[in-house]
Amino acid sequence: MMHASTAVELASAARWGQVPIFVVFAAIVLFLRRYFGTGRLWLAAMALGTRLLALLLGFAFQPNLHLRQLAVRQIEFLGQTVATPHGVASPWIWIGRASALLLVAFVVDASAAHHRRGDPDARRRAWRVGGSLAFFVAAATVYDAFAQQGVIESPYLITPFFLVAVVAMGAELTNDVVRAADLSRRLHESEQEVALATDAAQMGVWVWDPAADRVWATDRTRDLFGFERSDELTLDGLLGRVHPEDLEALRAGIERALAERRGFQVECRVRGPGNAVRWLVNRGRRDAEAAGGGVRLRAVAVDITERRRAEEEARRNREEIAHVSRVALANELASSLAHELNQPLGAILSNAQAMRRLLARDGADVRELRAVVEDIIADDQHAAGVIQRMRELVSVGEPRLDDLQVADVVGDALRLVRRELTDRHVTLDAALARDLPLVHGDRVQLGQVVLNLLVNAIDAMDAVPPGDRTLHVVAGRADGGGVEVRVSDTGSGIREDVLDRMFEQFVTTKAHGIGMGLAISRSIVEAHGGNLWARNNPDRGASVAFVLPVEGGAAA
Amino acid sequence: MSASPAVFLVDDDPSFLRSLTRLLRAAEYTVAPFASAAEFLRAHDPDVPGCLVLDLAMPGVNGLEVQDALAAQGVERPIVFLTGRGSVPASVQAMKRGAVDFLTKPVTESDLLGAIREAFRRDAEGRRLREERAEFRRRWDTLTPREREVLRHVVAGRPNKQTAAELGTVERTVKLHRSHLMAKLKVGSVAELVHLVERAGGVPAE
Repeated sequence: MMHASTAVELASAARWGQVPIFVVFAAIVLFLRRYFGTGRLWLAAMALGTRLLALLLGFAFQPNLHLRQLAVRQIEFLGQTVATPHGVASPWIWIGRASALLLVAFVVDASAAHHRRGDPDARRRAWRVGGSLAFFVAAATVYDAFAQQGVIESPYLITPFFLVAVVAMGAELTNDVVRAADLSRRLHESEQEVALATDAAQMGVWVWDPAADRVWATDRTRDLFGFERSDELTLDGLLGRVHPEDLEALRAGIERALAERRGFQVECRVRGPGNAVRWLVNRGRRDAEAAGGGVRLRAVAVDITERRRAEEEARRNREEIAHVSRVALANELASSLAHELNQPLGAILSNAQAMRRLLARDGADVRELRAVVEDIIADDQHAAGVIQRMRELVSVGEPRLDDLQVADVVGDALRLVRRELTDRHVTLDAALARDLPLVHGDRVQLGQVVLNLLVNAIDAMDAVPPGDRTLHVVAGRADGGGVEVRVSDTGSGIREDVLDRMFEQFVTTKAHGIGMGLAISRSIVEAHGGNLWARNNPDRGASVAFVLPVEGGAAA
Repeated sequence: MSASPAVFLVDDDPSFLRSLTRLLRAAEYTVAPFASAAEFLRAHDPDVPGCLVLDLAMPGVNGLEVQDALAAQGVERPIVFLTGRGSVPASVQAMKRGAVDFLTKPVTESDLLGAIREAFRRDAEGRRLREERAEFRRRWDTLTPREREVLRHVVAGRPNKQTAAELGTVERTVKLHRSHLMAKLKVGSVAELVHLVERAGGVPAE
């Protein structure tokens, strides 16, 4: 264009010159959208639209869209003679200028939005890249206007301004490349650190791709599940090593994690190398959509065999202590229980002897004889019940979990201390709600807890006059959900210094106690997911209470 | 004796109470069963002869307290205690206060019936004694003060002469008083008189 000699040539050159300008505009828009990820699309569309309009209209107008009566003017520029168009500006020239203004507006808007993201890098980038681009477009437009009006003697030149923008952008891009390299190095380091950490924590990492049914697993995972380094893994292959009893839970956890996009955590036994069974906890979650669009399940597997073994040992210790404590309780209640047994035995004997006399008579009344036999059977069952409760008290059984009505557990314990209450002149005030939600637990152990509290409460009232001994027993709903059992006495209360330590082992205020009862009671309640506490009553005596979680609801 | 003796039975355990009632009735006793001490104390008629078979350990008022309550009312009803366990201090206490026996559950028929027979015997004996005393007292009330004075001297074994001297009268008068009081007390000899006074627990104080 600079070397055009005729107006026609110049007009044609100017016409085609619109094409690279449009390309530059489009490039700026695309660059900012990708680099900043900001900018209003309607602004971009209007800037590019008006530019395209100017480009198309250029072919429709003769000789030129922007100038009427185009003439060629030869000017001296940097020691060369160059041709520049010369003429009177037509109103259409504002289309191109409007387009430039819209582009500046887009650049400023996109940069401002990027700047608002706040981090120092974004701010610097907004200033440098956005600023230089806006400057480039604005400066080129103004320069063009001055040149066209002959204010300055110069051909149409946008290169110097573009250079500014290119330098600014180049600096920024170089910066980004350096940073990317740095990030990649740090990513590698961080991967190394994660690997070190997972190895140190003896965690195995595994990732399942459900679409391909392929499991990627670290060496540690392969060791834990008993696979070779070279084995191809599938989810079923992995699950094949899981103990059948735990398989369902793990499968359900994984399926839920996939379906509901949430985490899962399942403890399971795995038959590893040499058929050794180890406990693993698998924790994982469905990953955010991976780059390829596929779903991934990422999980870590940790060997918790030692923890489970320790827990098992602690449980066994607790069982043993609980048993010792139960035997001590049974010992304490022995004479009461013997009495409790003598009652039905005595009734059976008297009934049998009465029957012998009735049978010795002529014409014995059959109905009366039947009533005697019925009574004998009932008393026998009563005696059997007493023996059963005594046996449970001293038994060494594996804990058995049942759904229990707490009122029944408390009622059974109360039967065991009935004689004790009578002999020691204690009045019983029991309020046992029968319609409570069921608790999941071991009947013997929970019965032991209640029995312990009852015996303690009775013992606590030895020092007060017989008329003032009242035992309050309440079973009801706890305030925060769950079921509460509270045993209160009218004794002298608990000394403050004892109150703090009374749940420790071997702490006792009784002459004959071994100081195990409350400690084991608390540990039994806690093993059932509940808690147990003691406090002095506002008026007199003390209360010990525990809360147990109920089926299908959280405890307090 | 007017009414036939009854066994008052008190035990808080309903099935035990029922079985014992049944046994005693089969053994042809009249039985009055009570499920609590309070109920027994409310309904008890001391004039009905017989004994009390009482459970020692009961909620509320226990066996020893029933024994005390009866003693406080001046009721001398023989008691056979039943207990679920051999409580030595309680049994000693009960026996000291005059319990007939102290049986441990389960109690055999022969032990129980033996104890009841003994209790009945004591009850009958006690009632006869009380009756005799009451009769003596009734007759005593008919004596004049002078005759009572003379009686004391007779029972003390003093000769008429000495009695007369101490009372400041003559022997003839003393003899007259003596024949009157022996007639009123319905005794034929001095030996009979002394025996009567002994059974009645001595000469009543004025």
